[in-house]
Amino acid sequence: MEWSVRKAGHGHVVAPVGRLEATMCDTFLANVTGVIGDAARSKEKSLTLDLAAVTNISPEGLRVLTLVKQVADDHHVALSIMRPSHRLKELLAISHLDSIFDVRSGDDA
Amino acid sequence: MQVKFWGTRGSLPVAQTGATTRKKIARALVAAAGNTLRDEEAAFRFIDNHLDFATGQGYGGATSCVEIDRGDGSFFVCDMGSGLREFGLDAQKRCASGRAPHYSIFLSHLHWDHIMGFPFFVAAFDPEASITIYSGHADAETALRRQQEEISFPVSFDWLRAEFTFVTLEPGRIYDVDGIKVETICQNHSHDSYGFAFDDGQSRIIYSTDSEHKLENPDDKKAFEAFFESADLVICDTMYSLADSVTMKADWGHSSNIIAVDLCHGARAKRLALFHHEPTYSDDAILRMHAETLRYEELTRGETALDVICSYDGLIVDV
Repeated sequence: MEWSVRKAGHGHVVAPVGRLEATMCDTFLANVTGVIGDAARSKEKSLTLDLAAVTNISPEGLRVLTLVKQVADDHHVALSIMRPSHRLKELLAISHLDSIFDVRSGDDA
Repeated sequence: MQVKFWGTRGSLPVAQTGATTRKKIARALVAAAGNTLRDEEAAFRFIDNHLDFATGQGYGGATSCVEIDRGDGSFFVCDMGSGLREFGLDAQKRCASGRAPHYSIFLSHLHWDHIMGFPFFVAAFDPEASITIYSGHADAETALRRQQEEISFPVSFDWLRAEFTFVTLEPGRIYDVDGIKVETICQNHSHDSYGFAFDDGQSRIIYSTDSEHKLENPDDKKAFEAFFESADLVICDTMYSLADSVTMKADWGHSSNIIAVDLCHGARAKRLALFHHEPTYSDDAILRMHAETLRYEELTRGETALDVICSYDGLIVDV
């Protein structure tokens, strides 16, 4: 899975591309954990997952999002999810993960 | 085969409160306003056609007990939760009509909610009855005897009049029990639990409760997809939401509706029965969970649709 990191006014933004499935979870978690470390040392202490380019997510992918959340909480970094597709947003709601995450639809993230 | 759900609740029996009944009546009266319901038959038709299941009926509160009925031979029963009492009374009537009082009981594990119906199982007091208890646990007899020790219950196990046999099953072996092929699989739960597959040559039924499927364990996924392979009905532990199962209730030994759908899709199973409902869930919450599961199945299905039903006390399913 490809992904990019950028620094925005409100903190770090990680933008994965494609499908977030079982085989990519370990790498994704390791990479995002590194960015959380950077975010924890920054002034903003904020990380946004921009999921606009994520086309699908498996239950393993949903679980890894919760692990990212745990790591962010451990580092006192505020985590939010930005621009999930309608399908992703629905999956987050069905799995009740929308109660854990700060999910934002557009440029307000 | 026919599957009868005598108890579908997890962990603890649930009794509906007066306040809940009152709320259901109020909802029904509001929904019926303007209709003329001349008799109870008309009222039942209105309930069936116009009220949601949570308002018009509800899921019940007895703990795990599921009968797999072939119409003859020994009674096949999975688990002895509080639903066993009602099963026992019903079986007694069938025995009065000529069926032999032979029981084959399959215990998923020995936790209290899965054996608490046993002290109230009328067949245990019948000197004509034979009861064979199949379990993956070698200590099944110990658990049942301990439950009836005087400190917990007034009737000792030794006072029971039925003939008891205890059989320990090994995962990976296929057993012939009264003409049915039975397999078992070890499941991730405190002190282990065991799932069962029942195959009469025409249909395959899976009973898999109190089983936590770890998303980070691909071997577990493969093993259970193989066990559920092409099943006609999978009765599966769906106690939690995915969010609960991977966060605050991780390692509590239960699974989610999301994982159950994925395993059934992977196994090309035909029908999934949501089971072992969380005792804190209201009927409305279980109804909502069923709707969410149907939507998740629709969003993730491949070539073949999986039929997702939500079990309730009293449900009968032809397989």
